[in-house]
Amino acid sequence: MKLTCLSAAAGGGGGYHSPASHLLELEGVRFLLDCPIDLSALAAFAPVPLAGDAGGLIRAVPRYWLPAAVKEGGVDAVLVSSATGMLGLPFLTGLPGFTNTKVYVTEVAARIGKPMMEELVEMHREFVRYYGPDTDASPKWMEGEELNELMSMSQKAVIEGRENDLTSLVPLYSPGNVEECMHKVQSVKYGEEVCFNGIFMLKASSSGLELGNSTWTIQSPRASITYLPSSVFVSAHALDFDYSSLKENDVILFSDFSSLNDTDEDNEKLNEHSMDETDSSLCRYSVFRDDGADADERVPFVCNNDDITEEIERISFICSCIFGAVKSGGSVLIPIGRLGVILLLLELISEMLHSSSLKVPIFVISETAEEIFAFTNTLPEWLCKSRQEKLFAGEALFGHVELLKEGKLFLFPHLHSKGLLAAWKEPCIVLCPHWSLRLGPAVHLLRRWHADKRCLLVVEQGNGAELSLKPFMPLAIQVLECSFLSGVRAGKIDPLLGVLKPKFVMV
Amino acid sequence: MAIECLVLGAGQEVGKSCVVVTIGGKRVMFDCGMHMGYHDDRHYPDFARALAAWGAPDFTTAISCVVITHFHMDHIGALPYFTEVCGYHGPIYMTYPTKALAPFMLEDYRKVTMGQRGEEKQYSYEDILRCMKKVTPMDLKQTVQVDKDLVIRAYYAGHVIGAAMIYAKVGDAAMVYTGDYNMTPDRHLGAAQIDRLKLDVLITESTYAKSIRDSKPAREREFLKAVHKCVSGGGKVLIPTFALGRAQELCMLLDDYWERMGLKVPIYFSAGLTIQANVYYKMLIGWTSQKIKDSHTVHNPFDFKHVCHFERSFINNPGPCVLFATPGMITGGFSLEAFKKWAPSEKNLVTLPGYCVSGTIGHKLMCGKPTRVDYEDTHIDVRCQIHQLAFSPHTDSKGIMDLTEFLSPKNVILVHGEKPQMAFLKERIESELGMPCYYPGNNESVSIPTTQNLKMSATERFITGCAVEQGKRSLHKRNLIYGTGLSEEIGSDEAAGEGVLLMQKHKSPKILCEDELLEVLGMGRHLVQFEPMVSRIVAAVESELQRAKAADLDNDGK
Ligand SMILES: [Zn+2]
Repeated sequence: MKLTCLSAAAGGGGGYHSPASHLLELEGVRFLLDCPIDLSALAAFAPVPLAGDAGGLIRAVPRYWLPAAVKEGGVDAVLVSSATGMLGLPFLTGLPGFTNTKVYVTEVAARIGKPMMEELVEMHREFVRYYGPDTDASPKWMEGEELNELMSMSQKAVIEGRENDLTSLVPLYSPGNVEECMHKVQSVKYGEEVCFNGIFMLKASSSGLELGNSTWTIQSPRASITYLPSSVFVSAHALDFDYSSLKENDVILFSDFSSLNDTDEDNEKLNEHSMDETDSSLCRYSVFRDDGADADERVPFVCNNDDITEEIERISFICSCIFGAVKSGGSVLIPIGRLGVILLLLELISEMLHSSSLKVPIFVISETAEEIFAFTNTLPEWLCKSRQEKLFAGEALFGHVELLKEGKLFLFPHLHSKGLLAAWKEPCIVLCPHWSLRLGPAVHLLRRWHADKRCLLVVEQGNGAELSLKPFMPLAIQVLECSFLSGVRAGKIDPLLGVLKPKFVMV
Repeated sequence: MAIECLVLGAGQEVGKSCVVVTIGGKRVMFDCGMHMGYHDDRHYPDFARALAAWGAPDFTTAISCVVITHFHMDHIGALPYFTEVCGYHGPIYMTYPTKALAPFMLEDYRKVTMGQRGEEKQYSYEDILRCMKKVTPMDLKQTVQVDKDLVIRAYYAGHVIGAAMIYAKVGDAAMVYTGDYNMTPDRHLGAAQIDRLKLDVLITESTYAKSIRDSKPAREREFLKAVHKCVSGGGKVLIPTFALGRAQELCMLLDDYWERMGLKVPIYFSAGLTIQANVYYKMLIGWTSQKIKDSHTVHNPFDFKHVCHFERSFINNPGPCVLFATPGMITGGFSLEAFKKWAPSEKNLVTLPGYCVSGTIGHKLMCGKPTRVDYEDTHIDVRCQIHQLAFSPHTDSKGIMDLTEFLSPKNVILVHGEKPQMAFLKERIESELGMPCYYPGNNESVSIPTTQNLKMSATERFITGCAVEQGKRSLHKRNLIYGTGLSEEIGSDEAAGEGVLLMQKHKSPKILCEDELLEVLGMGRHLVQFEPMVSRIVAAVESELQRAKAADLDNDGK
């Protein structure tokens, strides 16, 4: 058994948008564990249409880092743990080493991931319309001064060891690549056991972080392995983390790096648990499994409700800032890419507006909004217990259903969509892509509101706000940077491992 | 260890489905239905008698879990009685749609039967709610670990929204209980789908054990023509159905037809359930057919354009109309009220969708048209037209045969059917598929012997030997298995490995090479030479080996 780290969790949101990617070799079979898209290069490009000096950013059709998995040759199977964990796949699936590759992902992550890919392609097309198509030859900016600037400006964006490897900066995939990728997908339900290659049993269980996100159990003849990406014990929207289904697996591939942003003290705790494990025999017991009752005592601690209470408090705080802005006559722009947060925000904002009888329209401007919103109301099996109760009580699963009916919420695919102007009224609250502030309606709206100090921009921490706001300078708009729950808290890792009782943990 | 199947209901009849299977020491109850044709003791399965036979103090200790396949009353109707009156407190499983929709079916039916004679064992609305709270919902294909040993899994069954076939497994013993299923897709549901599983017994419904239905579109046209003819002659159409399932399917059909033909005749639903049902159906769209799933963001097929608001007094209105009224089978309630009013006129039409259990008015209408129906103390003159829907959400006999052949279980048990037809199907299954088949009556049980697989380890030398052998024969085969614990694949193809199975007391069985056996036993090799005429060479070698063995060892050649 051999594990290679292809990329660590990148970008903001504790790896939500770009989770880690690993290659696992087991019994001669190669598994790729997640394949996100790395959008870090995007920040170095000026958004279009160009305005002013573009802050010294590159004026060209953006390029994207090719997933590191490309260099590893072919893989036999891809295990995807989230919709964001499959966004890099269309880069690979057309390559020769991937002809017979099967992609395993939950039904819901696949249903959300596909429109995300399509929307990315569509938003990217705006650049192509502006500059003309990107040719395969290396563009001018790659050779000139501009590149060095790119490097220095977006230090975060350029990961070590990549400086000289510009061949990894490639044009975005096409709609055809997306189709090709989706053809390889074998969607599963939580708890469904699928057989791979005759000797492996694969099973996805909910990880609690987002709708359709999963952990994976790989059962091989000699060992049972848990692939544990970012997980949340109790969620306000997705089905809770099903850690009990991972109990007693031999090896845990712990890939939840969200807590690395926490304090150092917490990190030390994490390190204590990292044991070296390279090609070691799995038949040897190195950790004695105690079948004691003490393990069960830890359960209430890991799955208490603090996390979710904190999360709701955070979102309530954002709502109060939003409320303050609209009351003063300013509009609010929320380019946040987390489905769960968007769904919760909509419910809390509307509640707040309702109780204050302030009439401010809410817009969601996204090509995928209609499809995804309709979809979220049809997946009770994938939601947290309290939302499931709504099904049994005959109520809509999310608040947006009612808001749409009452005409408080409007969904439009584009800013130029028919009917948008008629419904448009400022101040308003707009949720739209893209969190990078380089793509989608967010660019145009930020241009519109950036000089109004009554307006508010809500962005997620860790996405490099300074660089991403550069082309919109000078700014008068208020900027609220916020963070959201993205995985297991460092303090809870210890008790979690105590419950799962693995023989090895690989970080 | 044997699998014991006790049929508490739906044995040689349709109604009150309930089968209790003892498998690997676990007792699982499949379905807990009521019989709508009876209003006395035969209404519910005879739980008390079963409990006495098991010799258990209460139902919770006697039964490991209850699994409900779908929300029809003949599959779930006795559940609130079983939990709230009989006091079963163990786990109950059903799919999400079943858990969501069952309370409506139960409450609708409870209201209808309230005050009927001999219903002293009735449960209350609160009982229904308390009962449903205890239910654990499950998703399709999800492997549910009921306890350490018992595993269950649901598969898509078609039939009604949320209907499931249930797979249960304890150790090596495995079985499937189908509930009601449909092997052909309909307007809003897909066809039943199941994996190829290794089964000791398949318990299947056999409602249409003998009949083969022809193409669905033809039957649908027949239905639409009959309805259209009636309304264009100024008549009223009564369709007695249950609130959920059939009603939605037929209404989709009518709504679509009305649109195409430009008809203006009102379509009514007796209860306010349509609107409520639509909210549910929208959320449960993931359980409908692929076609609907793909298109629902554009148009929700459960938003009916031609269904009008309805009030009870409308049944006295003149002019044509179509009315969906609950309950199905005309066992009482509003469908009976409308039937009393409309049956005397030859202009009107009663359409019976699906099966009607004996003892109901629907059943009487189905078995040849009567001119007079007596119900309790009233006499109803029946002069109206009767049309029986020739398509049903149950599989036909071809479907049952197909599924049975696909699953190839070691044994088949038929339930939920009529005795003569079941006998016919049993013959077919035994002669055409070569599987023992049973159709026990109520309170009878069938015992099925099971095979037991022994887990054994093999020595490295043996496996390498086999692998080399096999590798020679099938070079193209990838991924040979090495290691311990899994030896099923070895030699299962063309090549049989040769070795010795060693079973020692207090040790797990082990496969080894012939040479290794000698090493283990610490013996030298004895050579025995035979005359060519001796035919029992193998047996002789074995007896030689036996002699060479320590006293507490058993051995067996493979
Ligand atoms: Zn049924």
